Amino acid sequence: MYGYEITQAIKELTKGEIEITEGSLYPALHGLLADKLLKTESMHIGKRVRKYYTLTKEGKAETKKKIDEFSDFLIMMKQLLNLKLSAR
Amino acid sequence: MTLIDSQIDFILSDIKRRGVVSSALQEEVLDHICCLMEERFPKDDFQTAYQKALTSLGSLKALQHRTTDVILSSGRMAIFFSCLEYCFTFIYLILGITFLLLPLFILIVMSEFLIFAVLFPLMPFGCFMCFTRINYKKFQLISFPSKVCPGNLVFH
Repeated sequence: MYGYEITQAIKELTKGEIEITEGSLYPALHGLLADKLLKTESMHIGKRVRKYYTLTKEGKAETKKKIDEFSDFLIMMKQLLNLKLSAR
Repeated sequence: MTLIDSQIDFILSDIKRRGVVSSALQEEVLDHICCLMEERFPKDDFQTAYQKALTSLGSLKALQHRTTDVILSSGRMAIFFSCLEYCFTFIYLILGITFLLLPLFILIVMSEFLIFAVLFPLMPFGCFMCFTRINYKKFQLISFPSKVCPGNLVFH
C-alpha cells in the first residue's frame, strides 16, 4: 500500500473514527523503513513516483509481537477497570 | 481532475520551496498531494484544489523535520549518532579533567623546577659549608677569617 492508500484504508476500517494525518504517517513510515521493518517498491505513474510499502520478514514478526502486547494490555485494562468491550 | 505534467512540475517545485529537502519524501508528498487533488477535490480548479490539499497536509517543513528526526533516531543512524555522542562526551570529559588538573600539574612542575633549578644547586654549597666549617674530629665550628667575619666572632 502507498501513503494515501494507507490513510484511506485506516479511515474506512475505523469508519472515520481514526484519521492518520500525513504529518505523522510519513515520519512513521520512514522510521519503520530505517529499522528495516518495511520495504518499498516504486512505481512510475507519469511524472509521479508512487512508493508501495510492504512488511519485511522482521516487520511481520514485530507486527505479531506488537499485536500480542496490545492484546495483553487490553486484557489487563479490562480486568483493572472492569470494562465491557464490544465492537460497534 | 487529471493533473498534467506542468502542474506536477509546479507542485514539485513548490514542495521543494516549502522545505521538503529529502528526495524520497518529495516523491511521496507529491504523490499524496496529487491523490488528494484528484480524489477529494476533483471539481475544483487547480489552484483551489492545490491550496486545499496543502492545508490538509499542514506545514511541509515541519513534516520534513519530523521525518528527519525519526530517521536519525532509528536503526543504524541511531547507533552511529549515539556512538558519536559518546565519543564527544569522552573527549569533553578528558578535556575537563585536564583543565581541572592543569593548575595542580603546573604547581607540581613548578615545584619540581624550583627544586631542581634552585634548591639542588644550593645543595653543593651546603655540603661545602658543612664540610669546611665543621671540625668533625673535635666537633667544633671552624670560623671564617676575621676579614670575612667583621665582628671578630669566633666559634669554638
